Amino acid sequence: MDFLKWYKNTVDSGQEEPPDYTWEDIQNDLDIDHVYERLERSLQKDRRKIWIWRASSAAGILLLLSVGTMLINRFRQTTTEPPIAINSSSPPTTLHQPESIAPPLLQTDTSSLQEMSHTLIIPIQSTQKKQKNDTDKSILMADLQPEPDNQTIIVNPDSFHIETASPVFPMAGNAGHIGINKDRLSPMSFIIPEAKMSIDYETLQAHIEMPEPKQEPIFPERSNTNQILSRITIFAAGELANTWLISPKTKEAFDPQDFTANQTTIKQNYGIGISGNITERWEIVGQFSFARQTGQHYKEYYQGKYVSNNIDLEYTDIALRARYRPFKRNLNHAFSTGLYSAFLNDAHQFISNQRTDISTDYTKTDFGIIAGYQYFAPVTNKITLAAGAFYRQGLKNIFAGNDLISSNLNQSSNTSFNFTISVGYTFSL
Amino acid sequence: MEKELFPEEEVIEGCKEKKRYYQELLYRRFAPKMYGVCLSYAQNREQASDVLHDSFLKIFRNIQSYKNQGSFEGWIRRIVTNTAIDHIRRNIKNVPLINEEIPETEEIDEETVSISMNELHQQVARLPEGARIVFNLYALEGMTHHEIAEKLNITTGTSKSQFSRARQLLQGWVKELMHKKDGLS
Repeated sequence: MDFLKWYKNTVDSGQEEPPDYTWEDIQNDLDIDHVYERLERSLQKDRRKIWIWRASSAAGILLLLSVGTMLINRFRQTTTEPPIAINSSSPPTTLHQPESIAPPLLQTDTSSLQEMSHTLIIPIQSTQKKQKNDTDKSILMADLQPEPDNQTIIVNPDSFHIETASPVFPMAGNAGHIGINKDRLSPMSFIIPEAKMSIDYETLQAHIEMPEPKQEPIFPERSNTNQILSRITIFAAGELANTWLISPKTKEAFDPQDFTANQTTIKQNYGIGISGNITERWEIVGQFSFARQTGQHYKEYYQGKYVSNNIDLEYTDIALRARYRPFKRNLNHAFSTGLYSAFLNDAHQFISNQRTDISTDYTKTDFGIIAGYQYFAPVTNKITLAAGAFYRQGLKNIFAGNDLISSNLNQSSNTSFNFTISVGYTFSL
Repeated sequence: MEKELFPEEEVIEGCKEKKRYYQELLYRRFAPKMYGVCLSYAQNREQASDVLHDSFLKIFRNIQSYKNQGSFEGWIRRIVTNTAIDHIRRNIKNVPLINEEIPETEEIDEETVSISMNELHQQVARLPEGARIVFNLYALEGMTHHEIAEKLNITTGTSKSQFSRARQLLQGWVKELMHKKDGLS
């Protein structure tokens, strides 16, 4: 027999039991595989949850800002557009206007207006029911009153033309309504509380006498804005904070291969504050929170189980910020930056809902920087709502160390992304 | 008996579902034979156990890729062989070969050879790593020198020469062992 065949037969036919520990080791590795698969599934779920949270938060903020902007614009329009009715002092008559002299539009001279000299255009149809007096002159005296009525005159702000939307001028009904072209008027709204208008039938000249328009203040109490601390605002603020305890453990937990996983940690915080202007666009803001919560939640493999591990810290917090409104024409936007200082009230850890006091593991104080953006929505001249987003970054290692780990081996700092809503009341000094 | 109770297809399906019971059945069924293969490639029993351990982990983790085509035992054996080669490569950076010329040894009558499997493995283990792999791939797996050369990233000539030398050495050692045993008896 060939040596090779003999060798192959011997090896193939021979069986030898491997050592028992080989199967034990394989089982152990299969157990680890099983645990790892469960962890991986759980981590994938957690990652999905995190993204749902992030997307929901972003959508919520966008919605809040959109609704806020819409409400502010509506608020401004309603304050700058009182409906005005024209009551004609003349009785309704029928009048035939010679077609030869009738231009397509009636040109009116508004030169009698103080500081306003614009052409008033009224469609020809409107002139055909003017009252005619003895001197073949039709004069319309109109009193404008803040009442809605049946005729609408659209005011075009670009040329200050006034055009009727209806072919009939309000002679028959003794009343007309001046509306405002909302699409184009918003930047230069005006109010006509009382006015007189006369129309010369022959020359087709209309005369409107109206008081000097008053400019409605867009932002409350801006008369003394250049004086330091001429505006003081006190406010109450609430926030949803996505907090992080940046430590080696948190950093490692970002690794999908790691058995520990970071959980989205959301805390609710409340505070009060005061702000005062330095210039028209610069302000100084102080805020106080008695019980500001931070912390980090984990899911981790602990003593053979996959458990939740929550580290919760509670601080008394004082923040000082400088706030700047970058747009001169729109003071609703503001960016701010500043510093905070915090004093630890309580620190505890929950592992599977078992509470442990860890106050001694963390330093009694913390400090850091704040930066963020706010959008202000004036509700009245005094009351303002604000929505904002802030980032807070602790600059101090808040881990004080314990019997097992020294402070420098577990350097930790507070970080949070905060979404705030505040309501403020402004005093003018 | 075990085969009758649990057909191979059922065991494979059970392993695909990661049922521990079926995984143990599979291991018990194939481990003794595969351990013999491991011993042929490894230098010692400890290394053979490691190779067997790694091989079965690979089998359980990748059993989903077995599509019930071809021999299941052949599929397992390929994994074991590849794991053994990888193991040797990983642990020994430069796989040693036989460099010196081996004198021709006279053919032995294999039918009269009565040595145990353990004794045979001891002799095979004396071969340098590289020569042992080449010899086993040729003798046990039936690979050509061209295939061996590609697999081990060596030339065909090297494969041929290593195989030839390994065969001469092994034959010589088996003969020596036989003589020793004859002398003792």
